[in-house]
Amino acid sequence: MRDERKTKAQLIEELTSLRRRNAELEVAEEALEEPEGRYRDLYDNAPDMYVSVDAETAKILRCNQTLATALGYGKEEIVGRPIFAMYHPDCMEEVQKAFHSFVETGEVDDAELQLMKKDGGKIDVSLNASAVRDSEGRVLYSRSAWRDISERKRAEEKLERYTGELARSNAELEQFAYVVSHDLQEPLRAVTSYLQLLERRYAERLDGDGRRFIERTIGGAGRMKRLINDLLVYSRVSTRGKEFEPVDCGKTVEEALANLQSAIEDSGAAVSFDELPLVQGDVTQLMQLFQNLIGNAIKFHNEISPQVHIGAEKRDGEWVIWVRDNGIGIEPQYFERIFGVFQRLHSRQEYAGTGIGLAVCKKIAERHGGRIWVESESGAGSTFYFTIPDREEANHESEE
Amino acid sequence: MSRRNSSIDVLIVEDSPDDVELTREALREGKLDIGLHVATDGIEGLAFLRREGKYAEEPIPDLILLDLNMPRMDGRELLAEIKADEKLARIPVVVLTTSEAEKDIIASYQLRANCYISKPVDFEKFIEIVQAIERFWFRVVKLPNG
Repeated sequence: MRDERKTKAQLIEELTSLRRRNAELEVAEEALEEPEGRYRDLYDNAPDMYVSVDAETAKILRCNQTLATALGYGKEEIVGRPIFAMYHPDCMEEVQKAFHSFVETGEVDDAELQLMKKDGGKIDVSLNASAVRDSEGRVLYSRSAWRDISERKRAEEKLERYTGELARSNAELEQFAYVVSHDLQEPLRAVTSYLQLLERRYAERLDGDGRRFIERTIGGAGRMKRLINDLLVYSRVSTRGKEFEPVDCGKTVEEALANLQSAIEDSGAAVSFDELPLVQGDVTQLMQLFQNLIGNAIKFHNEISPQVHIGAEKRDGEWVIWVRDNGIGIEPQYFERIFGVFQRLHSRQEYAGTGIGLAVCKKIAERHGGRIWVESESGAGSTFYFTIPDREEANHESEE
Repeated sequence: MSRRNSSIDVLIVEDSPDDVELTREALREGKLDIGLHVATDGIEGLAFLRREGKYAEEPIPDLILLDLNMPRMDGRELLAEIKADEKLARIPVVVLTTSEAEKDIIASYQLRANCYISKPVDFEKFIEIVQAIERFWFRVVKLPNG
Protein backbone atom coordinates (compact mmCIF):
# COMPACT_ATOMS: atom_id res chain seq x y z
CA MET A 1 0.00 0.00 0.00
CA ARG A 2 2.91 2.23 0.68
CA ASP A 3 4.06 1.76 -2.92
CA GLU A 4 0.91 3.32 -4.09
CA ARG A 5 1.93 6.29 -2.29
CA LYS A 6 5.37 6.55 -3.93
CA THR A 7 6.39 9.93 -5.05
CA LYS A 8 6.66 10.82 -8.69
CA ALA A 9 10.39 11.21 -8.31
CA GLN A 10 10.67 7.72 -6.86
CA LEU A 11 8.64 6.28 -9.71
CA ILE A 12 10.77 7.95 -12.33
CA GLU A 13 13.88 6.65 -10.68
CA GLU A 14 12.52 3.09 -10.61
CA LEU A 15 11.42 3.30 -14.20
CA THR A 16 14.85 4.48 -15.26
CA SER A 17 16.45 1.68 -13.32
CA LEU A 18 14.11 -0.86 -14.85
CA ARG A 19 14.84 0.41 -18.32
CA ARG A 20 18.54 0.23 -17.66
CA ARG A 21 18.23 -3.36 -16.38
CA ASN A 22 16.07 -4.23 -19.29
CA ALA A 23 18.64 -2.90 -21.70
CA GLU A 24 21.35 -4.84 -19.89
CA LEU A 25 19.29 -8.00 -20.09
CA GLU A 26 18.66 -7.48 -23.74
CA VAL A 27 22.37 -7.13 -24.41
CA ALA A 28 23.08 -10.19 -22.32
CA GLU A 29 20.37 -12.14 -24.07
CA GLU A 30 21.66 -11.07 -27.41
CA ALA A 31 25.13 -12.10 -26.36
CA LEU A 32 23.73 -15.48 -25.32
CA GLU A 33 21.36 -15.99 -28.14
CA GLU A 34 23.42 -14.86 -31.06
CA PRO A 35 26.21 -17.51 -30.84
CA GLU A 36 23.81 -20.20 -29.70
CA GLY A 37 21.63 -19.54 -32.67
CA ARG A 38 24.65 -19.61 -34.94
CA TYR A 39 25.96 -22.83 -33.44
CA ARG A 40 22.58 -24.46 -33.47
CA ASP A 41 22.27 -23.60 -37.12
CA LEU A 42 25.68 -25.12 -37.80
CA TYR A 43 24.79 -28.18 -35.72
CA ASP A 44 21.42 -28.70 -37.31
CA ASN A 45 22.57 -28.26 -40.86
CA ALA A 46 25.99 -29.88 -40.68
CA PRO A 47 26.91 -32.18 -43.58
CA ASP A 48 27.15 -35.09 -41.14
CA MET A 49 24.48 -36.56 -38.85
CA TYR A 50 25.03 -35.88 -35.17
CA VAL A 51 23.60 -37.54 -32.07
CA SER A 52 24.42 -37.55 -28.39
CA VAL A 53 23.59 -40.74 -26.55
CA ASP A 54 23.07 -41.10 -22.82
CA ALA A 55 25.68 -43.50 -21.49
CA GLU A 56 23.36 -45.04 -18.92
CA THR A 57 20.14 -45.51 -20.86
CA ALA A 58 21.59 -45.75 -24.40
CA LYS A 59 18.84 -43.34 -25.42
CA ILE A 60 19.30 -40.45 -27.81
CA LEU A 61 19.60 -37.10 -25.99
CA ARG A 62 19.99 -34.79 -28.98
CA CYS A 63 20.27 -35.02 -32.72
CA ASN A 64 20.62 -32.64 -35.61
CA GLN A 65 18.23 -31.85 -38.42
CA THR A 66 20.56 -33.50 -40.97
CA LEU A 67 19.89 -36.84 -39.31
CA ALA A 68 16.16 -36.27 -39.05
CA THR A 69 15.93 -35.27 -42.72
CA ALA A 70 18.09 -38.16 -43.90
CA LEU A 71 15.96 -40.71 -42.07
CA GLY A 72 12.63 -39.06 -42.80
CA TYR A 73 11.70 -38.44 -39.14
CA GLY A 74 11.06 -35.31 -37.12
CA LYS A 75 13.78 -34.59 -34.58
CA GLU A 76 11.28 -35.07 -31.78
CA GLU A 77 10.62 -38.63 -33.03
CA ILE A 78 14.30 -39.46 -32.74
CA VAL A 79 15.13 -37.94 -29.37
CA GLY A 80 14.43 -40.45 -26.62
CA ARG A 81 14.74 -43.54 -28.85
CA PRO A 82 17.30 -46.21 -28.00
CA ILE A 83 20.39 -45.78 -30.15
CA PHE A 84 20.31 -49.42 -31.32
CA ALA A 85 16.88 -48.86 -32.85
CA MET A 86 18.48 -46.45 -35.33
CA TYR A 87 20.46 -49.15 -37.08
CA HIS A 88 19.31 -51.51 -39.79
CA PRO A 89 18.91 -55.09 -38.53
CA ASP A 90 21.38 -56.27 -41.24
CA CYS A 91 24.33 -54.67 -39.51
CA MET A 92 23.64 -55.58 -35.88
CA GLU A 93 26.83 -57.60 -35.61
CA GLU A 94 28.94 -54.59 -36.65
CA VAL A 95 26.92 -52.38 -34.31
CA GLN A 96 27.77 -54.69 -31.42
CA LYS A 97 31.44 -54.52 -32.35
CA ALA A 98 31.36 -50.71 -32.48
CA PHE A 99 29.54 -50.63 -29.15
CA HIS A 100 32.17 -52.87 -27.51
CA SER A 101 34.93 -50.70 -28.90
CA PHE A 102 33.17 -47.67 -27.41
CA VAL A 103 32.82 -49.30 -24.01
CA GLU A 104 36.46 -50.36 -23.99
CA THR A 105 38.19 -47.33 -25.45
CA GLY A 106 35.62 -44.56 -25.33
CA GLU A 107 36.04 -44.22 -29.10
CA VAL A 108 34.66 -45.55 -32.34
CA ASP A 109 36.71 -44.88 -35.47
CA ASP A 110 35.13 -45.15 -38.90
CA ALA A 111 32.85 -48.10 -38.17
CA GLU A 112 30.89 -48.86 -41.35
CA LEU A 113 27.23 -49.36 -40.39
CA GLN A 114 23.77 -48.89 -41.82
CA LEU A 115 21.05 -46.64 -40.49
CA MET A 116 17.41 -47.50 -41.03
CA LYS A 117 15.17 -44.89 -42.56
CA LYS A 118 11.57 -44.39 -41.53
CA ASP A 119 10.51 -46.15 -44.74
CA GLY A 120 12.75 -49.15 -43.91
CA GLY A 121 15.49 -48.19 -46.39
CA LYS A 122 19.18 -48.22 -45.56
CA ILE A 123 21.80 -45.50 -45.44
CA ASP A 124 25.44 -46.59 -45.43
CA VAL A 125 27.27 -44.55 -42.82
CA SER A 126 30.63 -44.35 -41.19
CA LEU A 127 30.40 -43.82 -37.43
CA ASN A 128 32.84 -41.80 -35.37
CA ALA A 129 32.05 -41.46 -31.67
CA SER A 130 33.84 -40.27 -28.58
CA ALA A 131 32.89 -40.26 -24.91
CA VAL A 132 32.14 -37.10 -22.94
CA ARG A 133 33.11 -37.64 -19.29
CA ASP A 134 32.50 -35.83 -16.03
CA SER A 135 35.28 -34.58 -13.77
CA GLU A 136 35.64 -38.06 -12.26
CA GLY A 137 36.03 -39.76 -15.64
CA ARG A 138 32.57 -41.33 -15.80
CA VAL A 139 31.11 -41.42 -19.27
CA LEU A 140 28.12 -39.07 -19.42
CA TYR A 141 27.20 -39.38 -23.03
CA SER A 142 28.63 -40.14 -26.42
CA ARG A 143 29.19 -37.59 -29.09
CA SER A 144 28.57 -39.41 -32.35
CA ALA A 145 28.77 -38.43 -35.98
CA TRP A 146 27.49 -40.49 -38.89
CA ARG A 147 28.80 -39.68 -42.32
CA ASP A 148 26.76 -40.74 -45.32
CA ILE A 149 29.02 -43.01 -47.37
CA SER A 150 26.38 -44.42 -49.75
CA GLU A 151 28.07 -42.87 -52.78
CA ARG A 152 31.40 -44.40 -51.88
CA LYS A 153 29.76 -47.74 -51.12
CA ARG A 154 27.98 -47.73 -54.44
CA ALA A 155 31.24 -46.95 -56.23
CA GLU A 156 33.02 -49.68 -54.28
CA GLU A 157 30.32 -52.21 -55.04
CA LYS A 158 30.41 -51.31 -58.69
CA LEU A 159 34.17 -51.67 -58.77
CA GLU A 160 33.97 -54.96 -56.93
CA ARG A 161 31.33 -56.20 -59.36
CA TYR A 162 33.44 -55.22 -62.37
CA THR A 163 36.56 -56.72 -60.86
CA GLY A 164 34.69 -59.93 -60.14
CA GLU A 165 33.24 -60.05 -63.63
CA LEU A 166 36.63 -59.41 -65.14
CA ALA A 167 38.28 -62.09 -63.02
CA ARG A 168 35.50 -64.52 -63.91
CA SER A 169 35.71 -63.83 -67.59
CA ASN A 170 39.50 -64.13 -67.48
CA ALA A 171 39.25 -67.41 -65.60
CA GLU A 172 36.70 -68.69 -68.10
CA LEU A 173 38.95 -67.70 -70.96
CA GLU A 174 41.89 -69.46 -69.34
CA GLN A 175 39.80 -72.53 -68.73
CA PHE A 176 38.54 -72.40 -72.30
CA ALA A 177 42.04 -72.16 -73.75
CA TYR A 178 43.18 -74.99 -71.53
CA VAL A 179 40.30 -77.30 -72.30
CA VAL A 180 40.41 -76.57 -76.01
CA SER A 181 44.10 -77.19 -76.28
CA HIS A 182 44.00 -80.24 -74.03
CA ASP A 183 41.03 -81.83 -75.76
CA LEU A 184 42.40 -81.03 -79.20
CA GLN A 185 45.43 -83.14 -78.45
CA GLU A 186 43.43 -86.38 -78.39
CA PRO A 187 42.14 -86.42 -81.96
CA LEU A 188 45.40 -84.96 -83.16
CA ARG A 189 47.24 -87.85 -81.60
CA ALA A 190 44.97 -90.23 -83.50
CA VAL A 191 45.60 -88.40 -86.80
CA THR A 192 49.35 -88.35 -86.35
CA SER A 193 49.60 -91.89 -85.09
CA TYR A 194 47.54 -93.47 -87.85
CA LEU A 195 49.41 -91.50 -90.49
CA GLN A 196 52.65 -92.77 -89.06
CA LEU A 197 51.24 -96.26 -89.00
CA LEU A 198 50.17 -95.86 -92.62
CA GLU A 199 53.63 -94.68 -93.55
CA ARG A 200 55.25 -97.49 -91.62
CA ARG A 201 53.18 -100.26 -93.11
CA TYR A 202 52.24 -99.02 -96.57
CA ALA A 203 54.90 -96.53 -97.72
CA GLU A 204 56.41 -99.15 -100.01
CA ARG A 205 53.12 -99.71 -101.79
CA LEU A 206 52.59 -95.99 -102.47
CA ASP A 207 54.13 -93.97 -105.27
CA GLY A 208 56.11 -90.76 -104.77
CA ASP A 209 52.99 -88.58 -104.70
CA GLY A 210 51.33 -90.76 -102.08
CA ARG A 211 54.37 -90.66 -99.84
CA ARG A 212 54.72 -86.89 -100.26
CA PHE A 213 51.07 -86.36 -99.30
CA ILE A 214 51.56 -88.41 -96.17
CA GLU A 215 54.65 -86.37 -95.35
CA ARG A 216 52.73 -83.10 -95.84
CA THR A 217 49.90 -84.31 -93.62
CA ILE A 218 52.29 -85.38 -90.89
CA GLY A 219 54.00 -81.98 -91.17
CA GLY A 220 50.68 -80.16 -90.81
CA ALA A 221 49.68 -82.27 -87.83
CA GLY A 222 53.08 -81.52 -86.29
CA ARG A 223 52.52 -77.78 -86.65
CA MET A 224 49.08 -78.10 -85.14
CA LYS A 225 50.58 -79.98 -82.25
CA ARG A 226 53.07 -77.16 -81.67
CA LEU A 227 50.26 -74.59 -81.78
CA ILE A 228 48.26 -76.56 -79.24
CA ASN A 229 51.28 -76.99 -77.01
CA ASP A 230 52.03 -73.28 -77.23
CA LEU A 231 48.46 -72.42 -76.38
CA LEU A 232 48.76 -74.70 -73.36
CA VAL A 233 51.99 -72.99 -72.33
CA TYR A 234 50.30 -69.62 -72.73
CA SER A 235 47.23 -70.54 -70.70
CA ARG A 236 49.38 -72.14 -68.02
CA VAL A 237 51.16 -68.85 -67.26
CA SER A 238 48.18 -67.93 -65.13
CA THR A 239 46.65 -71.33 -64.34
CA ARG A 240 49.88 -73.04 -63.29
CA GLY A 241 51.79 -70.08 -61.87
CA LYS A 242 53.78 -70.75 -58.72
CA GLU A 243 53.97 -68.56 -55.64
CA PHE A 244 56.51 -65.76 -55.77
CA GLU A 245 59.85 -66.25 -54.07
CA PRO A 246 63.19 -64.45 -54.23
CA VAL A 247 64.73 -64.97 -57.68
CA ASP A 248 68.29 -64.19 -58.67
CA CYS A 249 67.94 -62.88 -62.24
CA GLY A 250 71.65 -63.50 -62.90
CA LYS A 251 71.32 -67.20 -62.15
CA THR A 252 68.06 -67.36 -64.07
CA VAL A 253 69.74 -65.89 -67.16
CA GLU A 254 72.54 -68.45 -66.84
CA GLU A 255 69.96 -71.24 -66.80
CA ALA A 256 68.20 -69.79 -69.82
CA LEU A 257 71.55 -69.61 -71.64
CA ALA A 258 72.25 -73.25 -70.77
CA ASN A 259 68.91 -74.22 -72.35
CA LEU A 260 69.76 -72.16 -75.42
CA GLN A 261 73.25 -73.58 -75.70
CA SER A 262 72.86 -75.30 -79.04
CA ALA A 263 71.15 -72.27 -80.60
CA ILE A 264 73.98 -70.07 -79.31
CA GLU A 265 76.60 -72.40 -80.74
CA ASP A 266 74.84 -72.82 -84.09
CA SER A 267 74.52 -69.06 -84.59
CA GLY A 268 77.90 -68.14 -83.12
CA ALA A 269 76.15 -65.67 -80.83
CA ALA A 270 78.02 -63.69 -78.19
CA VAL A 271 75.88 -63.16 -75.11
CA SER A 272 76.90 -60.92 -72.21
CA PHE A 273 75.07 -59.61 -69.19
CA ASP A 274 75.51 -57.05 -66.41
CA GLU A 275 74.90 -57.64 -62.76
CA LEU A 276 71.19 -58.46 -62.51
CA PRO A 277 68.92 -57.86 -59.53
CA LEU A 278 67.31 -60.14 -57.00
CA VAL A 279 63.56 -59.89 -57.53
CA GLN A 280 60.38 -61.43 -56.19
CA GLY A 281 58.82 -63.81 -58.71
CA ASP A 282 58.06 -67.21 -60.18
CA VAL A 283 61.50 -68.61 -61.04
CA THR A 284 60.25 -70.96 -63.78
CA GLN A 285 58.35 -68.20 -65.50
CA LEU A 286 61.16 -65.66 -65.25
CA MET A 287 63.49 -68.25 -66.75
CA GLN A 288 61.01 -68.71 -69.58
CA LEU A 289 60.78 -64.94 -70.03
CA PHE A 290 64.56 -64.58 -70.35
CA GLN A 291 64.81 -67.66 -72.52
CA ASN A 292 62.18 -66.38 -74.96
CA LEU A 293 63.70 -62.90 -75.20
CA ILE A 294 67.29 -64.14 -75.54
CA GLY A 295 66.13 -66.91 -77.90
CA ASN A 296 64.50 -64.30 -80.15
CA ALA A 297 67.56 -62.07 -79.96
CA ILE A 298 69.66 -64.97 -81.23
CA LYS A 299 67.13 -66.17 -83.78
CA PHE A 300 66.27 -63.00 -85.66
CA HIS A 301 69.61 -62.15 -87.19
CA ASN A 302 70.99 -61.80 -90.70
CA GLU A 303 74.49 -62.75 -91.84
CA ILE A 304 76.12 -60.83 -88.97
CA SER A 305 76.51 -63.11 -85.95
CA PRO A 306 74.26 -62.12 -83.09
CA GLN A 307 75.48 -60.06 -80.19
CA VAL A 308 73.15 -60.03 -77.24
CA HIS A 309 73.44 -58.05 -74.04
CA ILE A 310 71.22 -58.19 -70.98
CA GLY A 311 71.20 -55.20 -68.64
CA ALA A 312 69.22 -53.80 -65.71
CA GLU A 313 68.60 -50.46 -64.10
CA LYS A 314 66.49 -49.32 -61.17
CA ARG A 315 64.01 -46.58 -62.08
CA ASP A 316 61.27 -45.18 -59.81
CA GLY A 317 61.12 -48.14 -57.45
CA GLU A 318 61.15 -50.82 -60.13
CA TRP A 319 63.72 -52.66 -62.16
CA VAL A 320 63.91 -52.16 -65.88
CA ILE A 321 65.58 -55.17 -67.47
CA TRP A 322 66.47 -55.30 -71.14
CA VAL A 323 67.70 -57.69 -73.77
CA ARG A 324 69.47 -55.88 -76.61
CA ASP A 325 70.49 -57.43 -79.92
CA ASN A 326 72.08 -56.38 -83.20
CA GLY A 327 69.60 -58.35 -85.28
CA ILE A 328 67.17 -57.54 -88.06
CA GLY A 329 65.06 -55.11 -85.98
CA ILE A 330 61.33 -54.45 -86.13
CA GLU A 331 59.37 -51.72 -87.87
CA PRO A 332 57.56 -49.41 -85.43
CA GLN A 333 54.07 -50.32 -86.72
CA TYR A 334 54.56 -53.83 -85.32
CA PHE A 335 55.73 -52.79 -81.84
CA GLU A 336 52.37 -53.67 -80.28
CA ARG A 337 51.31 -56.52 -82.51
CA ILE A 338 54.29 -58.74 -81.83
CA PHE A 339 53.07 -59.30 -78.26
CA GLY A 340 49.79 -60.84 -79.47
CA VAL A 341 49.08 -64.57 -79.54
CA PHE A 342 50.37 -66.32 -82.69
CA GLN A 343 51.54 -63.06 -84.27
CA ARG A 344 54.37 -63.51 -86.72
CA LEU A 345 56.21 -61.05 -88.94
CA HIS A 346 57.98 -63.59 -91.13
CA SER A 347 57.21 -66.69 -93.12
CA ARG A 348 57.91 -70.05 -91.58
CA GLN A 349 60.62 -70.55 -94.18
CA GLU A 350 62.48 -67.44 -93.02
CA TYR A 351 62.12 -67.92 -89.27
CA ALA A 352 60.47 -70.91 -87.58
CA GLY A 353 58.07 -70.63 -84.67
CA THR A 354 54.38 -70.27 -83.94
CA GLY A 355 54.52 -66.67 -82.69
CA ILE A 356 53.59 -67.40 -79.09
CA GLY A 357 56.90 -66.45 -77.44
CA LEU A 358 56.36 -62.73 -76.88
CA ALA A 359 52.72 -63.23 -75.89
CA VAL A 360 53.96 -65.56 -73.15
CA CYS A 361 56.59 -62.95 -72.18
CA LYS A 362 53.91 -60.27 -71.92
CA LYS A 363 51.71 -62.46 -69.76
CA ILE A 364 54.60 -63.37 -67.48
CA ALA A 365 55.71 -59.73 -67.13
CA GLU A 366 52.14 -58.68 -66.34
CA ARG A 367 51.66 -61.48 -63.83
CA HIS A 368 54.71 -60.06 -62.04
CA GLY A 369 53.18 -56.57 -61.96
CA GLY A 370 55.35 -55.31 -64.81
CA ARG A 371 55.17 -54.13 -68.42
CA ILE A 372 56.96 -55.15 -71.58
CA TRP A 373 57.80 -53.15 -74.69
CA VAL A 374 60.28 -52.93 -77.50
CA GLU A 375 62.47 -50.22 -78.96
CA SER A 376 63.85 -50.99 -82.37
CA GLU A 377 64.73 -49.80 -85.82
CA SER A 378 64.45 -51.99 -88.85
CA GLY A 379 67.92 -53.34 -89.58
CA ALA A 380 69.48 -51.81 -86.49
CA GLY A 381 68.68 -54.34 -83.77
CA SER A 382 66.01 -54.45 -81.09
CA THR A 383 65.90 -53.89 -77.36
CA PHE A 384 63.14 -55.59 -75.39
CA TYR A 385 62.44 -54.07 -72.01
CA PHE A 386 60.40 -55.38 -69.14
CA THR A 387 59.83 -54.02 -65.66
CA ILE A 388 59.47 -55.85 -62.37
CA PRO A 389 58.83 -54.26 -58.97
CA ASP A 390 61.83 -53.84 -56.70
CA ARG A 391 61.83 -56.56 -54.09
CA GLU A 392 62.04 -54.26 -51.10
CA GLU A 393 59.29 -52.00 -52.32
CA ALA A 394 57.19 -55.06 -53.15
CA ASN A 395 57.71 -56.33 -49.59
CA HIS A 396 56.91 -52.93 -48.20
CA GLU A 397 53.67 -52.82 -50.15
CA SER A 398 52.63 -56.28 -49.07
CA GLU A 399 53.21 -55.35 -45.44
CA GLU A 400 50.90 -52.41 -45.85
CA MET B 1 37.76 -109.71 -77.50
CA SER B 2 40.41 -112.23 -78.30
CA ARG B 3 39.58 -115.61 -76.92
CA ARG B 4 42.41 -117.59 -78.41
CA ASN B 5 44.82 -119.10 -75.96
CA SER B 6 47.79 -116.83 -75.90
CA SER B 7 50.85 -117.35 -73.85
CA ILE B 8 50.39 -113.86 -72.42
CA ASP B 9 47.12 -112.04 -71.76
CA VAL B 10 46.91 -108.28 -71.41
CA LEU B 11 43.77 -106.39 -70.44
CA ILE B 12 43.51 -102.84 -71.74
CA VAL B 13 40.94 -100.67 -70.03
CA GLU B 14 40.49 -97.73 -72.39
CA ASP B 15 37.50 -95.84 -73.75
CA SER B 16 39.13 -94.64 -76.96
CA PRO B 17 38.91 -97.23 -79.79
CA ASP B 18 41.67 -95.30 -81.58
CA ASP B 19 44.03 -95.91 -78.72
CA VAL B 20 43.04 -99.56 -78.36
CA GLU B 21 43.76 -100.09 -82.02
CA LEU B 22 47.10 -98.29 -81.80
CA THR B 23 48.12 -100.38 -78.82
CA ARG B 24 47.14 -103.53 -80.70
CA GLU B 25 49.23 -102.39 -83.67
CA ALA B 26 52.15 -101.50 -81.46
CA LEU B 27 51.99 -104.93 -79.81
CA ARG B 28 51.87 -106.52 -83.26
CA GLU B 29 55.26 -104.98 -83.98
CA GLY B 30 56.65 -106.81 -80.96
CA LYS B 31 57.83 -110.39 -80.89
CA LEU B 32 55.66 -111.88 -78.19
CA ASP B 33 52.33 -113.56 -78.75
CA ILE B 34 50.11 -111.36 -76.66
CA GLY B 35 46.34 -111.68 -76.42
CA LEU B 36 44.87 -108.21 -75.99
CA HIS B 37 41.53 -108.05 -74.16
CA VAL B 38 39.56 -104.82 -74.11
CA ALA B 39 37.28 -103.20 -71.54
CA THR B 40 35.93 -99.75 -72.34
CA ASP B 41 35.57 -98.44 -68.80
CA GLY B 42 36.19 -99.30 -65.16
CA ILE B 43 32.93 -101.19 -64.73
CA GLU B 44 33.62 -103.43 -67.73
CA GLY B 45 37.20 -103.82 -66.55
CA LEU B 46 36.13 -104.95 -63.09
CA ALA B 47 33.56 -107.36 -64.57
CA PHE B 48 36.28 -108.82 -66.79
CA LEU B 49 38.69 -109.27 -63.91
CA ARG B 50 36.02 -110.85 -61.71
CA ARG B 51 34.85 -112.99 -64.64
CA GLU B 52 31.32 -111.85 -64.29
CA GLY B 53 28.60 -112.45 -66.91
CA LYS B 54 29.94 -112.53 -70.45
CA TYR B 55 33.47 -112.51 -69.10
CA ALA B 56 33.10 -115.83 -67.26
CA GLU B 57 35.42 -117.68 -69.63
CA GLU B 58 38.09 -114.97 -69.83
CA PRO B 59 41.58 -115.53 -68.46
CA ILE B 60 43.07 -113.62 -65.55
CA PRO B 61 45.37 -111.19 -67.35
CA ASP B 62 49.11 -111.06 -66.77
CA LEU B 63 49.15 -107.27 -67.07
CA ILE B 64 46.62 -104.45 -67.05
CA LEU B 65 47.03 -101.33 -69.19
CA LEU B 66 44.83 -98.70 -67.58
CA ASP B 67 43.63 -95.34 -68.88
CA LEU B 68 42.68 -92.80 -66.20
CA ASN B 69 39.91 -90.74 -67.73
CA MET B 70 36.93 -92.86 -68.67
CA PRO B 71 33.15 -92.64 -68.27
CA ARG B 72 31.21 -94.38 -65.46
CA MET B 73 34.10 -95.79 -63.41
CA ASP B 74 37.41 -94.10 -64.15
CA GLY B 75 40.89 -95.53 -63.92
CA ARG B 76 41.57 -94.27 -60.41
CA GLU B 77 38.46 -95.97 -59.05
CA LEU B 78 39.20 -99.23 -60.89
CA LEU B 79 42.80 -99.12 -59.65
CA ALA B 80 41.57 -98.77 -56.07
CA GLU B 81 39.20 -101.74 -56.57
CA ILE B 82 41.94 -103.92 -58.06
CA LYS B 83 44.45 -103.18 -55.33
CA ALA B 84 41.85 -103.75 -52.62
CA ASP B 85 40.93 -107.17 -54.06
CA GLU B 86 43.13 -109.95 -52.74
CA LYS B 87 42.81 -112.01 -55.92
CA LEU B 88 43.58 -109.14 -58.26
CA ALA B 89 46.08 -107.08 -56.32
CA ARG B 90 49.11 -108.98 -57.61
CA ILE B 91 48.42 -108.21 -61.29
CA PRO B 92 50.76 -105.45 -62.42
CA VAL B 93 48.89 -102.30 -63.47
CA VAL B 94 50.49 -99.92 -65.94
CA VAL B 95 48.72 -96.58 -66.02
CA LEU B 96 48.89 -95.44 -69.63
CA THR B 97 47.23 -92.08 -70.09
CA THR B 98 47.46 -88.76 -71.91
CA SER B 99 47.50 -86.91 -68.60
CA GLU B 100 50.80 -85.44 -67.52
CA ALA B 101 49.32 -83.82 -64.45
CA GLU B 102 51.40 -84.19 -61.31
CA LYS B 103 48.29 -84.88 -59.24
CA ASP B 104 47.34 -87.83 -61.47
CA ILE B 105 50.85 -89.25 -61.22
CA ILE B 106 50.90 -88.96 -57.43
CA ALA B 107 47.37 -90.31 -57.04
CA SER B 108 48.16 -93.31 -59.25
CA TYR B 109 51.23 -94.31 -57.29
CA GLN B 110 49.40 -93.78 -54.03
CA LEU B 111 46.76 -96.17 -55.29
CA ARG B 112 49.65 -98.59 -55.89
CA ALA B 113 49.88 -98.43 -59.66
CA ASN B 114 52.98 -100.40 -60.72
CA CYS B 115 54.05 -97.64 -63.05
CA TYR B 116 52.75 -94.52 -64.74
CA ILE B 117 53.35 -93.71 -68.39
CA SER B 118 52.23 -90.66 -70.38
CA LYS B 119 51.15 -91.56 -73.90
CA PRO B 120 53.30 -89.79 -76.43
CA VAL B 121 51.69 -88.05 -79.40
CA ASP B 122 54.18 -89.61 -81.74
CA PHE B 123 53.32 -93.15 -82.85
CA GLU B 124 56.96 -94.18 -83.29
CA LYS B 125 57.53 -93.23 -79.65
CA PHE B 126 54.35 -95.02 -78.64
CA ILE B 127 55.66 -98.22 -80.27
CA GLU B 128 58.90 -97.81 -78.33
CA ILE B 129 56.94 -97.46 -75.10
CA VAL B 130 54.67 -100.43 -75.74
CA GLN B 131 57.71 -102.51 -76.60
CA ALA B 132 59.46 -101.32 -73.46
CA ILE B 133 56.42 -102.37 -71.42
CA GLU B 134 56.43 -105.74 -73.16
CA ARG B 135 60.16 -106.25 -72.66
CA PHE B 136 60.18 -105.19 -69.03
CA TRP B 137 57.07 -106.95 -67.77
CA PHE B 138 57.34 -110.16 -69.79
CA ARG B 139 61.07 -110.66 -70.16
CA VAL B 140 62.84 -108.81 -67.38
CA VAL B 141 60.67 -109.18 -64.29
CA LYS B 142 59.54 -112.38 -62.63
CA LEU B 143 55.81 -112.62 -62.04
CA PRO B 144 54.00 -115.29 -60.00
CA ASN B 145 52.71 -118.21 -62.07
CA GLY B 146 49.03 -118.29 -62.94
